[in-house]
Amino acid sequence: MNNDNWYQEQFFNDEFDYPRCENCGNPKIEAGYEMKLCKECREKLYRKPYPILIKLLGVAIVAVVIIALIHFPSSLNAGIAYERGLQAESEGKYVTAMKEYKKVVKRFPDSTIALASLFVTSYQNGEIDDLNALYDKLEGEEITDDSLVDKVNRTVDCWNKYYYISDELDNILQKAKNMDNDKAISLFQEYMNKNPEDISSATYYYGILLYDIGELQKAKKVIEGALKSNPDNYEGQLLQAEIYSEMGEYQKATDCCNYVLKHNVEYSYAYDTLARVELMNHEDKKGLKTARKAFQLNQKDSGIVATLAIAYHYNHNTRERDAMLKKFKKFKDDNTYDLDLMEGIFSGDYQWR
Amino acid sequence: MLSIIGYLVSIITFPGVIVHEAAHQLFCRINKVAVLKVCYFQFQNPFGYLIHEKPDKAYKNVLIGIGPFFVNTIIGAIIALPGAIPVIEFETGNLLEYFLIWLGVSIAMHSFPSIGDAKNIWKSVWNKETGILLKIIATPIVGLIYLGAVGSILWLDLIYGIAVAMFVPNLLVMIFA
Repeated sequence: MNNDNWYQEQFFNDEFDYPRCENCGNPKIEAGYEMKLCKECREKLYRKPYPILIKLLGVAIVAVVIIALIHFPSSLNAGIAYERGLQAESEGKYVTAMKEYKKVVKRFPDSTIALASLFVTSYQNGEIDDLNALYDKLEGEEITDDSLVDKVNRTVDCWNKYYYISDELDNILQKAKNMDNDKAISLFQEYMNKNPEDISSATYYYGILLYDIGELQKAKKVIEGALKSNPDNYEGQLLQAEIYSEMGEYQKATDCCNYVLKHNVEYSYAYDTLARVELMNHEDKKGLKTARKAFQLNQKDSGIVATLAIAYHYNHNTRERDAMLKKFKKFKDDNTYDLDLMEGIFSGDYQWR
Repeated sequence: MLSIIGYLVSIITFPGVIVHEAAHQLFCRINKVAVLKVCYFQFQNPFGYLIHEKPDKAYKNVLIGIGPFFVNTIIGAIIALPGAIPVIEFETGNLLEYFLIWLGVSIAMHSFPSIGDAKNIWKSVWNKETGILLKIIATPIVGLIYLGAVGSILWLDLIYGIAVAMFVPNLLVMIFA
């Protein structure tokens, strides 16, 4: 059947109901659609406008997003810093990790995750003075990351074990400064017998006392005993390195420093101690290289600056030596031990090695 | 109990419903398919709906059905971007950032086409006039939509919303870290 002719014929048939637009009645409907609509009505319907409220909400949201995007770069930088911190931490680069976490904490000072990460890495770098403030911010807060919770708990345990000094021990340390050596030793021994649970920090400070008064064999024995059960006492390892070095056991001293560096490849104090061991062993070039490494990692410690000055001296570089000595004298930490050491070595009055 | 929670979640994330229906409307406009009625949001199931005519081509029905997936995902990701790192990664943030996360996640959560959309697509695709290629493409899409609907009982839509919010920031951090 020819549809065009058929419709034409029906046009004159008053009883025929030919298709019209369901919206306006226009007989010119668009082909192909089940719903009979003319082109204009279909266009009106598919271009149905969004209500004014929806449009206004859309505009408001766009404005809010634009305003918020102003802060996005700083948030992104903090996210990048945190990721870099995690990578550095996994590689044992705790100084780098700590620097990155400090950036995150600067941007998000209330973030428990950032504070916890900084707490752990500050401890690893021996930044014990910062731990109290960080711990105060973390106390009572919930950390959702279980592995981070473990790290924080382990850090707190170590901090208590190796750095916490009871009032009684603190009292003994104060008295020991102005006391006869034998009396000081017996006071310590009495304290340690009474407080066997406080063995870690008490033993460490007892070891320091023995080392300071020149009882090297006794100091070695005390620290060796303490490190046997607590090898992760890195300050104890470095003290042991100094004792071994004084006794001429340079390989053992180096091993102690390397043990610490295996855990934290950026521990400036370990490099500093190692540099002194190497210099005492007349490995002057090596000692200078190691002292420079320590200084690169930490320019804010007077002891590290002193070591570098001594290294320059033994490498016959008096210009750099004097520059370091000048830098040392600007520190306000009252480090008379290293000042006397340097002046004695440089003037030749003291035979350090 | 679950249906009450589901009801409350839909109320709380109402912007996602509005954007979902607006996205259907947008794709109707692009494909020149008449919109007969649209309800952007109401306090009953379905929380939003759009009624359109049957398109002249089956593929248009597919596009209209899956349009919200793309629109909601993209808009949700953009809106959540400024707040994603502070709120989701570092669990901190100001009021504006929390607002943007709520809005972005709400919108992204409603990306999945509904079962109604799936039925619509299925009906038009499995018409005898529809080509075999479209049938092959559309069948797994409908399967995924049903999977998404089941997954929303297990909070898959919320997980998807959060993942969308974090995707771009995480990508940028990975590139530049």
